[in-house]
Amino acid sequence: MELFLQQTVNAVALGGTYALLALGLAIVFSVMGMINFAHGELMTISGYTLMYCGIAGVPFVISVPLAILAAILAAVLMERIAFRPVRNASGATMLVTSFAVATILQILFQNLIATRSKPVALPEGLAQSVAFGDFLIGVNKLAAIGATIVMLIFLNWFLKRTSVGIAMRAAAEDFPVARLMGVRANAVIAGAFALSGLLAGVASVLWVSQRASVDPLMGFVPVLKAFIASILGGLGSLTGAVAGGFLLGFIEIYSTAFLPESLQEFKEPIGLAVVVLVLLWRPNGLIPSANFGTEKV
Amino acid sequence: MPLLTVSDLKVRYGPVEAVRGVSLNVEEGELVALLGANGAGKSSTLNAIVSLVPAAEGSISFRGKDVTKLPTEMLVRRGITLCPEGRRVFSGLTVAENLRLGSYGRADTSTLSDSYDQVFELFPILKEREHQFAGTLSGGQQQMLAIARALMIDPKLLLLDEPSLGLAPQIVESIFELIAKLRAQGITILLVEQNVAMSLDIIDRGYLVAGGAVVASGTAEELKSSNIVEEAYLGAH
Repeated sequence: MELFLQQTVNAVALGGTYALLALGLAIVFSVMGMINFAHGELMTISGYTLMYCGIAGVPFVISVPLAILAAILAAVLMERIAFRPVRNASGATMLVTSFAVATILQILFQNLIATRSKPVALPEGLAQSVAFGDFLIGVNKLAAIGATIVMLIFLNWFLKRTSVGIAMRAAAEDFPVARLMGVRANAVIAGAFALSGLLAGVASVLWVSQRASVDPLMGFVPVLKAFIASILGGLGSLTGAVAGGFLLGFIEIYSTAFLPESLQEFKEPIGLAVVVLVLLWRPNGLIPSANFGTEKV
Repeated sequence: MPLLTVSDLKVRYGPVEAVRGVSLNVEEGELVALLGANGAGKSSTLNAIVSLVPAAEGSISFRGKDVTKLPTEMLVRRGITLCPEGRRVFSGLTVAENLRLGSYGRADTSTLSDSYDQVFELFPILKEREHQFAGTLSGGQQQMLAIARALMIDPKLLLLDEPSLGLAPQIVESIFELIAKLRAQGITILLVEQNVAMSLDIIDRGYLVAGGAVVASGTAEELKSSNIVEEAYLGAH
């Protein structure tokens, strides 16, 4: 029972991080119809910012917002430089562009920073645990769960209460009509990228807090997981992305914890098999988007 | 000077020329209609005026200024808006959110509450359904919401694309009454309609469009008294 609770906390922490990443992919997809595979490199940029801040002796409470800000800036620049020129191109063109951006950034990291993994100085407190009775929870896990909750509440408020948020939802549903209301296409898409950068930055801080290292390719695995999570939840659906992220977190943690020793080496295929089963049952994902395939700008 | 002048407008979709040189003008305070059969190029003309489709040739000027190349979101800020064909309300947004978005590009927000009063007076049902998702409204209510949403920017020129399409006859009648009411309130309207008979009862002037070109124009009385309308529908021009 205690093991189960412990693993559930782990699953919520990991699932929350996947949910934030999947949300970032979904927000951009919903307004632009593009899966941004360079989303992972936003995480890497955040990670390196944390690393350099650590080397420069910047306190962690300042380096975290700086790292998040770096991801937001990088996301907005990425849109402006790489994605705006191909905005009206086919889906395939946009997809290939995002792979190109990811590859270019990875090569830049390898050449300008390091090819190998670099340590990131973290405050000692993060590695400690808090006791709830007999029950120990890592501070980094608690931080991950707390940050996920805060981000989900913020995003919900932003999309429902602010004019820009409402404009984004409208643009996701029917971009030409949103423009008829005076919504600027450039502003909405840049805003969507900024939000995705914010989510990638937060996810990166959580991800790096678990590992205390960064490497040029660190963004690849989490963004792949986020992509699976957003398909699982329903491509372009924001609630779906959250559901998919958590479900994937649970599948991964429980299969690591509870599969018998002899099956451990098959835990990835078993996890993916569960994903396939879910998609067989609900081919459009858990909570499909009503706007899938609608006209984008 | 007319409020809107369209000169020799052409619109192409690939090799297909949907609009082949349409010229028209709308004076301030007028209710003008583009009439004609399905596929005549009426909607394409409206979409080109608001830059949702590019004008291949020709020019559009509004209040004496050339606005041909201005993007949609900037035209709204000048006071031109289109209530699109098929209503296209944001079904995942509430009625209140749809209206709020309608005022997004509004230049003067000091009179915003007047617009809320105006639309809730015209459509009390929208006040009742304020917090409901637009997708749950009936077709007629969605059309009302679409028009209300367009009114929220306090338009100088309102383009209405087929507002009666796909609605029950009783509702169609109330939509035409509403358009007449909006005109009486001083809103300049360019209307696109297939329902010629009912349009002729409320408009000041009309342009008859067939095959992407204007084949006749005149006041409502002139159009009513000639048989050119029937001829255009039968393609005998």
